[in-house]
Amino acid sequence: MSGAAGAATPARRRLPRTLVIGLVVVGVIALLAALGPWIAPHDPDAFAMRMRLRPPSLAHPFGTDEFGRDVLSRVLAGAHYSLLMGFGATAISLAIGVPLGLLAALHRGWVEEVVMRGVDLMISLPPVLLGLLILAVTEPGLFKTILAVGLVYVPIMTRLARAVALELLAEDFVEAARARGEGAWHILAREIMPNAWPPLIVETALRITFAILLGSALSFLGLGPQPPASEWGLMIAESRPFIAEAPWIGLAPGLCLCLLLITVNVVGEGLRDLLDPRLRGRGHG
Amino acid sequence: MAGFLLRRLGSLAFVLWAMTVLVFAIVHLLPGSVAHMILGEYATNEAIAVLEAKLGLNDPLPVQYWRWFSGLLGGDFGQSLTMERPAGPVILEALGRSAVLAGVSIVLVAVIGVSLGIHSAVHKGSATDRALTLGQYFFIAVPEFFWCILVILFFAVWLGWLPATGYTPIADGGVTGWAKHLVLPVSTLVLGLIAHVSRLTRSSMLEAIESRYVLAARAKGLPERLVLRRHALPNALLPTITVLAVDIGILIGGIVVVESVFAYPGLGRMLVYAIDNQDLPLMMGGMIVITAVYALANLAADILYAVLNPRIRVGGTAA
Amino acid sequence: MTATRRTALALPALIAAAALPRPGASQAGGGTLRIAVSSNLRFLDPAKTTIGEEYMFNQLVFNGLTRMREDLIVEPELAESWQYGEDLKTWTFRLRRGVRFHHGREMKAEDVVATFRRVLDPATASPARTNYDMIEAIEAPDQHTVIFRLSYPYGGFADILSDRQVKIVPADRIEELAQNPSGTGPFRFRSYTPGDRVILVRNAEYWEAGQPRLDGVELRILPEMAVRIAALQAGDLDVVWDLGPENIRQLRDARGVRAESVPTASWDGAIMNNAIPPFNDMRVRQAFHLAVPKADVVEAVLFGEGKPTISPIPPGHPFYAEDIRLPERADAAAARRLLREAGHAGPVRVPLVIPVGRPVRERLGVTLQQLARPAGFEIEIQRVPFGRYAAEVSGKAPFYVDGYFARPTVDTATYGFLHSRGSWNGRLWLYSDPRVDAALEAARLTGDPAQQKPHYIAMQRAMFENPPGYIAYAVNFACGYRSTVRDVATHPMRWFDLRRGYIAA
Repeated sequence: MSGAAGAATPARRRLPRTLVIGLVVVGVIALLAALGPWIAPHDPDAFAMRMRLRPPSLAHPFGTDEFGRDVLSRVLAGAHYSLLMGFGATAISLAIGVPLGLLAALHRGWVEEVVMRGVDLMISLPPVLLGLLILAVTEPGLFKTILAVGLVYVPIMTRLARAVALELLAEDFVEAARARGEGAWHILAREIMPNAWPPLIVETALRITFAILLGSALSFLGLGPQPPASEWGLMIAESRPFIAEAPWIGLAPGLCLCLLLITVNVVGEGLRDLLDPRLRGRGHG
Repeated sequence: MAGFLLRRLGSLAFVLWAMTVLVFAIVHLLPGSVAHMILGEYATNEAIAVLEAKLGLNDPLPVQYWRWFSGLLGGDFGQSLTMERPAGPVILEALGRSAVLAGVSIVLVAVIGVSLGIHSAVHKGSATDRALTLGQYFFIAVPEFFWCILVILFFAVWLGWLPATGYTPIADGGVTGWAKHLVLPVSTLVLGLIAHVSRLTRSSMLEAIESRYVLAARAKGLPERLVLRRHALPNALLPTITVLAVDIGILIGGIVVVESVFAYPGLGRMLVYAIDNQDLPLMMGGMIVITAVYALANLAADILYAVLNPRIRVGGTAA
Repeated sequence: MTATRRTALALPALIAAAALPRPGASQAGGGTLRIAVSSNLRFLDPAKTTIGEEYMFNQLVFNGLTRMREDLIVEPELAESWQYGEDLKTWTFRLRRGVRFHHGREMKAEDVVATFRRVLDPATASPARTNYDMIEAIEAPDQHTVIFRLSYPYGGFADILSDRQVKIVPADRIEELAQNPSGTGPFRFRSYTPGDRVILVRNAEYWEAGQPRLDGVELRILPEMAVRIAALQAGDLDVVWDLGPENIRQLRDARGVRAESVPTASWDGAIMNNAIPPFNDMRVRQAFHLAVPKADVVEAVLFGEGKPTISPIPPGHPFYAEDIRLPERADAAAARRLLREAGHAGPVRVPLVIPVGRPVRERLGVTLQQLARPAGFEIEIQRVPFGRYAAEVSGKAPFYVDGYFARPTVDTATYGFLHSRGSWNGRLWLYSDPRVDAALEAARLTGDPAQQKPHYIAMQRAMFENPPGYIAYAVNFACGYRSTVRDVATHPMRWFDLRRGYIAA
């Protein structure tokens, strides 16, 4: 199906309601995450042994954990990790994957073969495993996790960039540009990139959801930010011994994580509806 | 068709071989020491040295790789370093149990997901459709590890309904016992995927319903149900099949966490044990098996897709 | 390990045979006991076992020459009696007759000899080899007598024969030990599915008549504590082994189940490397002790299920130095003063490694980090999987959390760790204090507990003034049981003696 848009910009249409709501919620979460340490009612790291394992109350809306630390404060203080992981990792996968994919599309032949075989290889390992392996080799920490998750998703970005580029390369206006004698990089900048960004943006937005998921899964397994950091996946992992006695310790970060993921997902879907409804059937993990 | 098949098989073989090298390299880069793991708190420097020599860990890496790889070709996964028994049977038995979990899950995902998607599409805009859409948004975004905790909390701790222990062989508990222990892990695995598949099926079903072929068929005066079944459905199922294959990868990832939490003795748990204890043959064997399953699933999906969609066979454009 | 047992040893006379069969003991029909454990068993061969699950297995399938009861008294098991020379270097054991291995053959002296030879053989790579390096020669003058000749006097020799790795194995079934072990214990090995369970069945020909009462034992491998507890409450399990201190309160209030907690000599602590900064300076180590009161640590980490201690000798032990007062409150000012004296004008920055997957020790790390901050310690936590400890951490990292199981004797619990030439010292804190060395050596030379005590007290005093690291506490050991489980006691060595236990109908 060739794109009806061609070289023209997509027709103006009303922003879908879901997109607006999603953006607002994500914005609020981002704001809370940025302000976290300042608006938290208590010090997220402060022990208070007399107040340990208390259920939610006015003083502690999310209850307290095994050290008496206020769970709400910890959730607020830890919000930025998830956002950083989602956006940071996706940015990395974009920064590495898109140029690789475009390279493969432009220079068919052995360059493409090498790149695509490498992609096949990395795609063959399930993401959790790949992340585990990458992180097992080095000392854990926030930036290493972001890097690992970013690397895991490079192949998908590469594939997508290549596919989009190939489709566009087959278009008339590109043929015309070639006929005019324009060089490869010129075509790339002038003709391909402006038309490639809708599907790329959509995929990026969807990818952020998965990056947050993978990042928190790796933190859950102990490979992300270290204690006493209150990264949400780590908080859930640490709540396991107390699940029957004090479920709020794990439920609070877990539900916040779900909220974040749902809204990011909604934004992604909204963007897709806005920019490129053709892709409705194709979003996948 | 034959050419396509051969190319894909060749690619598969390459990937599998490259995977053995990659896995071997990474595993041997891991800075741990299996000798220390085995000796635990009794590890003294000399005990570690003796054990490492005994386990052949001091030979040059290419020698160790060849030893392992040639064994692999013959079906021998080597000897588990920490458990003093051949790694092969441990891995394959664990694989069998995981396969049960995965198999039941995939069947449920396919059947329930597709039916829900079709129903949603055909009855677009109805209350059920809207409820399903909402549910789908929710289920897709819940992390696997959180699901497990929720499920344990809800069913095992609060309601005390279902046994929380993971596995009963049919011999011990009968088929009902066996099935009961599968309910929790399977439910946790499938919820997200059912949401995913049903959404996808719904979208492609909608597209198909509104497509030219269907309009033409309707114009011919064919009954609605026939139109749907003969013309809309096959086109709708195409993307779903591809996605199911990709979902196997997600399933495998979910299985690692689910098996740990529900104490289900499958490949995921075995792998976690192997990584924690630096049992190299188990680690490498387990990862190769998982990769092979994943790669084969992708290959099957690719082939199926190509068979069902003639347009792909010729060119090989989009990834 | 108590004084009474030691004075009994001082008698040259034969020691009476233990465990007379109980008259009229009921036959089997006691049910199958399902015990939940947390990880796979790696080795079924006693000589190689190093984790709690494996030790439990040993106790059920095998016997040793001696055994240790729940009250830590060592009594005869496969050895009926023993004598030792005045110089404490020659030990003669008389073996019980009529004891059969699970594969039918009678246990004889050659099995004992084979067992010890292989533990001492470097090729076996037994982790316990250095524990028995005092054995110079083993002889079997007849089929039911074994003589050990030691290279140095060792008063506690009979005690260390009750330890986990020297259970007696059959000389003719050594190869099968890895997958189909045969022993003389109350339960026979039936099967092991890694990741799932170990199945043991009653040994109907067990040499202690009327035992065991249980029909069988299942060790179920369940990694998640919440799952184990839920299963216990639902009746899917009978025993949860090694309950976390945080879970004890939960079970105390529940119906149909009970939690039992006993003090042990197992300890956790933060190991400080004495050879590299910042803890190479004794004053910094002392400052840390002033900054972090151990009582607070016990409360925060163990929910009170443990006791602060100075050394691997736990409070409650007759050798514990009662008169040494551990600080009850943090003295940040004094700590800061010491740090300044040691040349640290500003905060002391040091990374602390904690082991992934051991929640109690992880909590210990986080607690130390928090409590030490006011005194000027800026601690950065690094979670490292236990498999990397050998390569990067043990004996190398400046500061890390670790813990050690109780050992059968005070000597084995202290010498290797604290003597400057001890075999574990080099992989721990690289500690050296001449007073401690002298005390440990002197204590070894006598078999009389009354004479050993002052040496161990001196050792603890020296350790209080010059701590090797932060030995935080002796931790309790707790298990959860369904109320139908009878006659099963919680053993401070973390295994179970299931000879008399049964499940009430």
